Amino acid sequence: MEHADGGAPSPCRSPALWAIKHETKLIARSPGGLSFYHNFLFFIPVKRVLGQIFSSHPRVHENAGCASRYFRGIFTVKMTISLLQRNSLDSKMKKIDLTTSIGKWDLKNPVLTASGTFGYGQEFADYIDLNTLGAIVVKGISLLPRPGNPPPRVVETSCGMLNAIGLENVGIEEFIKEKLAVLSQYDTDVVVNILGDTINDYCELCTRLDQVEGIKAIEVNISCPNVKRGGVAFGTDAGMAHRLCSEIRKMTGKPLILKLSPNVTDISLIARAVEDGGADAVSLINTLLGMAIDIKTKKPRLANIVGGLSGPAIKPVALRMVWQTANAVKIPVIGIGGISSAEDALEFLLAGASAIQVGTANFINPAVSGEIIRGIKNYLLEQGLEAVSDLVGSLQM
Amino acid sequence: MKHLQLLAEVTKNVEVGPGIFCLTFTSRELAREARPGQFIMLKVSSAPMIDPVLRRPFSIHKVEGDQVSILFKVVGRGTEILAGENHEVDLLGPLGNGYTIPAKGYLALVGGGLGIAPLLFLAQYCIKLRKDERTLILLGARTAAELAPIKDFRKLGFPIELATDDGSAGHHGFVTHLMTDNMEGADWTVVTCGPQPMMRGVAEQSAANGWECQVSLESVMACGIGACLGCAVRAKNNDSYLHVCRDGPVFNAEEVIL
Ligand SMILES: Cc1cc2nc3c(=O)[nH]c(=O)nc-3n(C[C@H](O)[C@H](O)[C@H](O)COP(=O)(O)OP(=O)(O)OC[C@H]3O[C@@H](n4cnc5c(N)ncnc54)[C@H](O)[C@@H]3O)c2cc1C
Ligand SMILES: Cc1cc2nc3c(=O)[nH]c(=O)nc-3n(C[C@H](O)[C@H](O)[C@H](O)COP(=O)(O)O)c2cc1C
Ligand code: FES
Repeated sequence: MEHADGGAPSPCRSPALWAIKHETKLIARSPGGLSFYHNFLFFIPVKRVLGQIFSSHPRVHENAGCASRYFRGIFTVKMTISLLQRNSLDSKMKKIDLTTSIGKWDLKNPVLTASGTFGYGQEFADYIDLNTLGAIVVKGISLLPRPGNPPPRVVETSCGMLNAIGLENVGIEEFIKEKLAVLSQYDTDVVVNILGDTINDYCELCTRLDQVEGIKAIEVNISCPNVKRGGVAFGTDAGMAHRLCSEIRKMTGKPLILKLSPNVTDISLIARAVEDGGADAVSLINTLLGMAIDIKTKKPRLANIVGGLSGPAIKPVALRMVWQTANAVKIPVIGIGGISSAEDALEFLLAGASAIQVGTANFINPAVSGEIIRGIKNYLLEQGLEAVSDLVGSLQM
Repeated sequence: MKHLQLLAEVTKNVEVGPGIFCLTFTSRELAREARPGQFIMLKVSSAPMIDPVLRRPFSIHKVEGDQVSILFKVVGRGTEILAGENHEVDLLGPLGNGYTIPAKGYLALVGGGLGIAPLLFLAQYCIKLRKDERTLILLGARTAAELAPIKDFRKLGFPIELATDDGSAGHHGFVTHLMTDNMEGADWTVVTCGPQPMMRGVAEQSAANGWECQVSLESVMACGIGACLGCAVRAKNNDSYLHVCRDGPVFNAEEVIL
């Protein structure tokens, strides 16, 4: 073990947990989807796959030649332990309850994919079993198709990225006809993220979606500018957010999740306003407004000049806002922002989130959500907890 | 076609020209699945979410047995890391739509700078698909040293013409001049990859001659798999956008504004 992971701090040290965590990963990542046991026969791929596993921790490169022999020895021991302990662990793992609920909607686990970072789901089908996800939140949909902003639309920044996609989407009708039809082949819940220019737009979208089967919930992006009110975002004014929420509440019985903008002074005020307006849950955070400049050309790096910051860089801010909001409202909070590992997700759950969404991390590792689900399960087992709900908001002060 | 996510063992990483590297890794599946013009997304930092966070797109340059190579130039942080010591590469691929290769007729491969990267794989494919058909390779660069990777092209035996901006190898001037000098008749298919102005020139010349032209575009990419919608390029026929990773990177020159 010391040698194999280079002695780097590992979130799961016990051999039993090692077996579960890494074996599931092995199957998931084995080149070409060979089973773990096939890999065992072909040592080279196994070694490569092992490299992958350990590469998720700060890595020390082994000294190539002799390391492979070492690896083989260590690996055989590990395998024996893992095989012996697997059966009893299997049954314990099965008992762990990952379900969570939002209003009257029960989710099989608390890991969702964030809007705009998971396409319409299908794009990821080769990389991850979509059926394992708590839910897929699709790219923001408007009444009519939108072309989006001119390029460049994305730019990498320190530990994150800025985007100004401009809410490009296929429009509600095409979404229902084409995209939803494909998604509904999977045994996974679908949440539709919506956006509009006026309260009327949002109302129409909710009315339309209310009739559509196979949509579990509606997530309302209120970071959009209100064209009738001089372009001030709905989500930056508590009064406007309240009004929007109360109006759309009348249009649908489906769970309504209001997605909050972090570009405000006190996010918990907005959260309370929409709770009051009848929201079933709030999700936060959307991206933080940011900017990057190319000093060679002296021009902004995004054609739109400003864009939304996402990725690991925003996690501490998001976590703080989730904690603040969870303390301010009674409805469930869905945590979003820089979540890239089970450890990140657990922080949000501890801070009071009932569920989390994985965003930018999908771009870097399209299979990451599955790893997060397994990691949460392992953590619960290690902590002797039976249900994820025991963890939510259990932050020790 | 299946998209793979895998970790591949690096077998070679050679500096073939000034700041130009050819990195080779082992992947039987990628070698089998990949088509010329497709690309891969490489994770350049060793840990999942450590800077630089985003993956980098690279064209598939060469496939020999289970060995797959990319050809890249060091231009920033990510390519600098790639030029260093790497035991394995973490990749997604093969991605995007490659070239449409006619089995018969005249085909010209026109590359400029690092744009020659995908054309070697294409030329390798032509050996399999259309060995006895006329295939012409026109390559341009700023200077002779940047044309070092042409050794591999020469091995294939197709006629090759070179151009350099400084005259240090082949024709002194642009690769588009080579088109005028070497391509006659009306039934050429032209495929091109290189700097945008060069491709614009190639596309214009092709249009003027009534030749079909396929261009391979670049754009900043966050995901490479059609999820972020970050890689937009303007479509020619209406006010909409196409996406390089999903609709391309190879487009018919008539489809996009270059
Ligand atoms: C489909 C496709 C195929 C490519 N094939 C090759 C190839 O075969 N060989 C090669 O040398 N280069 C290729 N490129 C360009 C290559 O991706 C960039 O040179 C590389 O991403 C630069 O990364 P960096 O970290 O060194 O540079 P930085 O400037 O530090 O990168 C910062 C960000 O900008 C992006 N970026 C910078 N330059 C480019 C560019 N020209 N195109 C797209 N994104 C860019 C990076 O991906 C990164 O997100 C290709 C690009 C695309 C889109
Ligand atoms: C490329 C991109 C597109 C996005 N599109 C949307 C969108 O259409 N609707 C929305 O509510 N949020 C959108 N978001 C915001 C994300 O859903 C998420 O709230 C944000 O990125 C923070 O999470 P992260 O750091 O995990 O990415 C987008 C984010 C990115 C990076
Ligand atoms: S790079 Fe993300 S959609 Fe093309």
